[in-house]
Amino acid sequence: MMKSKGFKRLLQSPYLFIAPYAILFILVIALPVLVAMGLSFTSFNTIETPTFIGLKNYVDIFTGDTVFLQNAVSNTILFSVVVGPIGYMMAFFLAWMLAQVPHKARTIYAVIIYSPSITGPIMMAFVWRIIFSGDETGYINSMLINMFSIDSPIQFLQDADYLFPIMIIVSLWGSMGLGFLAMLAGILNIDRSLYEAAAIDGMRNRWQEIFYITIPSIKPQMLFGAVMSIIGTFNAAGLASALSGGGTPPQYAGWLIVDHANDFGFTRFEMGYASAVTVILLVIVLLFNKIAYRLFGERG
Amino acid sequence: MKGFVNQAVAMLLFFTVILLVVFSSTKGVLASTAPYYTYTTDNEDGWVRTSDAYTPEGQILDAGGVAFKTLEYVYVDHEDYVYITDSGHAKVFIFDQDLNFIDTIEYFESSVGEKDGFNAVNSVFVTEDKIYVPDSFRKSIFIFDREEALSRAPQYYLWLDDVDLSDTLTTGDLFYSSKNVSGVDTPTGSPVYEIEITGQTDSGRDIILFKDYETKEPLFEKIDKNDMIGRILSWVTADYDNKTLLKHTIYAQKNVPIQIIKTPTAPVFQEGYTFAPKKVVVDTRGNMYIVGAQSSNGLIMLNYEGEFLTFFGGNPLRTPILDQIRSLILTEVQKKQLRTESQIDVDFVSSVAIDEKGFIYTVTSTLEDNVIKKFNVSGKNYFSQDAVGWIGAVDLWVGNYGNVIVVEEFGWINEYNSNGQLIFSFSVSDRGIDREGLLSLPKSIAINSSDSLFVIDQGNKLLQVYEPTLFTDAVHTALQAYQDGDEVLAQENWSYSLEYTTVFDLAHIGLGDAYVRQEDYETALVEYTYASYKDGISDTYWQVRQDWMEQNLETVFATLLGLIVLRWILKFFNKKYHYTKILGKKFTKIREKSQVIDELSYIPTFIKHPLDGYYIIKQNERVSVKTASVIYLALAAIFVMYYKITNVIFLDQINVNILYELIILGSILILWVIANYFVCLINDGEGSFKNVYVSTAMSFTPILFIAPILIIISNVLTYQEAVFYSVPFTFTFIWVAIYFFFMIKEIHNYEVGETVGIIFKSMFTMLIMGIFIFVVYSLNSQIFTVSTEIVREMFER
Repeated sequence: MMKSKGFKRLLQSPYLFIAPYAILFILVIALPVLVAMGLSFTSFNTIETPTFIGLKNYVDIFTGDTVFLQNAVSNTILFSVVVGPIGYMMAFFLAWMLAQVPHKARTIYAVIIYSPSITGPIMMAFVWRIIFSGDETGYINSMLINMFSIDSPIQFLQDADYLFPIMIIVSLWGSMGLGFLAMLAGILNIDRSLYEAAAIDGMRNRWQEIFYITIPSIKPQMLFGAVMSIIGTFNAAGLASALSGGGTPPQYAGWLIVDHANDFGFTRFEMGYASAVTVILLVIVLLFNKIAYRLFGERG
Repeated sequence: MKGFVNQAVAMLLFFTVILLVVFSSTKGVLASTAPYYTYTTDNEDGWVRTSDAYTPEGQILDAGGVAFKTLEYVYVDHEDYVYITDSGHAKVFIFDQDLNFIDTIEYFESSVGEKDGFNAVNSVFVTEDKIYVPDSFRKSIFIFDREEALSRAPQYYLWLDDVDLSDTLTTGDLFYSSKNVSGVDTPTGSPVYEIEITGQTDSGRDIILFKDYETKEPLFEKIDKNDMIGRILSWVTADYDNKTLLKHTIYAQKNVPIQIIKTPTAPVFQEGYTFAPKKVVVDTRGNMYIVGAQSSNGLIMLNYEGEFLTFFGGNPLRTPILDQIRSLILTEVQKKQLRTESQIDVDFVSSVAIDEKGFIYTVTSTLEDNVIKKFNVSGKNYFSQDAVGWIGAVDLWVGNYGNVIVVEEFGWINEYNSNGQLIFSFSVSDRGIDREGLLSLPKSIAINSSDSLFVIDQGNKLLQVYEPTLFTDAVHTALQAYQDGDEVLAQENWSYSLEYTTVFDLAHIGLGDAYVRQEDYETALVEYTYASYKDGISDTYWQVRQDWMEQNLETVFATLLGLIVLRWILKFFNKKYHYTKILGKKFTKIREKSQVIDELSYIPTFIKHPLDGYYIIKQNERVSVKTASVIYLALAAIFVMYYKITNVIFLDQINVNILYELIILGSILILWVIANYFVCLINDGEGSFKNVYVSTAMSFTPILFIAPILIIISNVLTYQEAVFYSVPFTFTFIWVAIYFFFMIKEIHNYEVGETVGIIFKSMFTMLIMGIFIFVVYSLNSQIFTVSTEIVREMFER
C-alpha cells in the first residue's frame, strides 16, 4: 500500500515531469560546461590524467599570454560588436524585403541569401580570396590597377591592417543564417488583416508598418535571431587564418578567442589551458548578455 | 686662525653660489654663436628653438688660386677627399682632408671630329676605386680611376735650352730642372735631359724621347709638344750660364676616362627618351642609379657596363582628377590624344644618395609631401610618409648614423634620423645680409666622416663648411650607440644633449628606448610621456601594468571576490533593514526641496523612455531651463575632463586651447537652438524655443553617464585594448544621434521624412548664420566707425 502510494507520488512528482528535459539539458549542455570549468583548473594533455593546478591557468592567461590579451580579446569584442548588430539588422531588412517579393522568386532568393552561411569559413574564404587576391589577378586589385592606377597590388590578405576589415565584410556576407530564416518565416506568418486594419486606422507609410506591426508581431523570431547572432559572432573562428592562407594570420590580425582556444586545445593539446580560455569567453558572453538585458530587457 | 678659516670657508661658499647662479642662468639661455637659429619639433609647442646644431667654420673660395665660377656639386668620399664640380670651369676640383687643393679632373678630348669632353659636369660620385662624372650636356658619364686621379703627378717646369735656335723641340735640345726661389722659378744645376725625336704618331705628332743627359739612357716618352709635353710659357726666358733658357711646362699625365657611359642601346632610349645624366650613385655591384634631366620615369638604372636595366623610384604622375575620370570612359585613341594634350605635372627627381646598406634615397624639389624617399632594391619606400618637408629640396646626403640631411634652395637645411623624424632644421638663407655662414643659393650638401657639413653656395660661389657642435655630436653618438645596442652610451649622450635643451622629444624618446632595452619600463614610461610618444607610452604602460598584475593578481582576484560578497551581504541586510527605502525617502525629501535635483533625477527614466520623455518635456514642462543649463555645464565639464584626464594616447591633439574649443562648441549649440527653432517655426513645428533648448540638453544626457567612466578607464588602457574605449564611445554617439533625431521628430511632431528635411534645413540655416556673423565680425570696425559718424552727424546738426 505504502509502496504504491509512494510510487503514485513519485509519478505525480513535478521532478519526474521535467526529468526528460532536465536529463537531456544536463547531459548535453550543463555537463560539458561544468567539465570545461573543472578542467580549467587542471593541466591536461588528453593522454595523462588531469592534475589539479588551481588558478594557474588563469594567472598565466592574465599575466603571460600577450596574444590572448592584446589580440584575441580585443578582436573578438570588436568583431562581435560590429558583425553582431549590423548582421542582425541586415538579416531583418533582407527578410522584410524578401517578404515583399512573389512566392517563387522569394524561395530562390532565400536560398541564395542563406547559402553563404552554411558553407563555413573555409568555403567563404575560398570565394573571397579570389576577390581580394594579393596579385593583379585579384578582382579588387585588378580594378584598382586599371581604374585608379595604383603602382602595385595591395596585399589585402597578408596585411594585418586589411585582413580584419575584410574578415568583417566576409562575415557580414555570411551572416544571413538561421536567424534570417526564422525572421522571414515570422514575417510571412503575420496576419495580413493587421496591415489592412492599420491602413484603415491611418497608417501613413511603410516605416510605421514596420515599427508598429511587423516588429511587434515577430518578437520571438527577432529574439531568436538576436541570440543566434550573438552566439554566432562570439563563436566564430578560423576565418582569418582561412583568408590568409592557413596557419596563424599575419600579426594575429583577426585572431579570435575561439581561435586561441583551438590553438591551445587541438594544436598544443593543453586542454586545461584551452578550457580556461573558453571559460573566460563564457564570462564575456554572459557579461554581454547582462548588458543587453539591461538595455532592452525592460521593454520586452 | 680660526677666524681666517671661517672667512675662507665663507668666501668659498660665496664663490660656489655665484658659480651656481652663473651656471644655472646660462643653462636656461640657448647660447647661439651661429648667425641663424636651429629648430626642432616638439609635441607640445610644435616648432621650437634648440641649441645650435652646426656652426659656420670657414669657406673655400678658390681652388689653388682659381676662383670658382659656377659651382654645382660637392662630394666627400670615404677617405674624406672633397670633390667639387664647377660647370663654369668644366672641372672637378679635388681637396684633401684638410681642404688643401690637390688637383683637378678635366677632360677635353677631341677625337674623330666630335667633342666629348666635360661640359656641364653636373655632379660627381666616388666609389672606392672609381670617380663617376655625369655630364648632362654630353649625355655621358665619365668614369675615372680614383687612384690615378688622386695621385697624378703635378705639372712641373723645366727650362729649355733650344740648342739649334729653331723655336721648336728638335733632337739635341736640352732641359734644365727648375728651382723656386722666393716665388720665382729659375733654372738650376746642369742639364738633366736631352731629347730626341724618334718618330711621328698617326696623327702626325712628334714622339719625343727624353734621355738622361749624362748617360744618354732613354727615360720616358711624351707625344706632341703642345699637348703632352706642355708649351712654352709666354716665352718666359731666363739668362742662365750665358744662355737664354725658355720656361717650359711639363704636364703630368692627362686624366683619361677608363670608361665612358653613353646613351644606352635599349629601345626606349632609341625612341627618344632623354638620357641626360645629372647625378649618379653606384651600388656595390657597380649598378648606376642615374638622375636624368627630363627623366619622367624616375632614376635610370644601368649595370656596370652601361646596359639599361630598369627605371627606378619615379614619382607618381599627378594627373588632373578630371583627366582621371575622363580616362575611365574614353577609348584608347581618345586617351592617346588626351595624353598629348593634358597638363601632366611630372615631379622629376632632384638628387639621389645611397647608404652603405644599399638603400637609395631620392629627393624631389617640386614635391610638398614625401619629399624624401628611401628605396630598397625592389623599390619600396621606407622613409616616413609624415616626415616634415617642403618644396625646394635640391640635394641630400646620408650621414654616418643613417641620418639624412637635406638642403633646400631657399636656405633650409633639415636633418632627419633614419626613420624620417626631424632632428634639426635651420635656415642659412642670407636674406641679403652678408655674413659668414649665410648662403644665397645653396645647391648641394655633403658630410665627411667627422660630421662636418659642406654646402655649395652657387650664388656666392663658395663652399661653406659647418662644424657640428658638442650637442650635435652627442645626438649623433646616441643615435649610433642605440643602433649598436649600447644603451648605456646612448643614455649618457641623450642625457647630455638634454643639458643643452630641455625640450627635445628625440632625446626623451631615445632615453625611453634605452630604458626599454634595460627593461626599466617605468622610467621609460616617464620619458615617453615627456615626449608624448604615444606608441611608446602604450607599449611601456602595457609592460608596467603587466608587472603590476603579476605581483598583485591575487589581490585583484581577492578584491573582486570581496566586492561580490559585499554586494551579496548588502542585499541580504537590505532585505532585513530596508536601507534602500530609507535612502529613497531621504532622496524624495531632497527632491522636494530642490527643483533642479528633482529634474536631474528624471534623466535615467528619460534615457530609458526617450519618446515618452520628449512628450512629457513638451506637454508637462518636466524639465526647466535652469536644469537644462546645468546639464550643459556638466557637458562642458566633461569636455574639459576629456582633454585633461583622458589617456594621452587616445587624444588626437594634445595641446588644445580648451576655452577656445568650448566657445566654438557653445556657439554652435546656440546657433543650433536658434536655427532649429526658427526653421521649425515656419515649418509647422510645435516646439517652443524653451522646448528646443531643454530637449537638446536632454538628448545629450547619455554622454553624462558614459563619458566620465570611459575617460577614467582610458587611463589604464593601452592601444591593445583600445576597443574598450572606442567602441563604447562610438555607440554613445550613435545613441545620442538617434535621440537627437527623435527629439526633433517628437518635439515638433513631424514625420520621419519631414524630420530629415528639417535637420538639413536647420544645418543650412546655421551655416548662413555663421557666415553672416563672420561677415559682421570682419566688418566690425567699419560698422563701428560708420555708426559713430552717424551719431556725431545727428548731434552736430
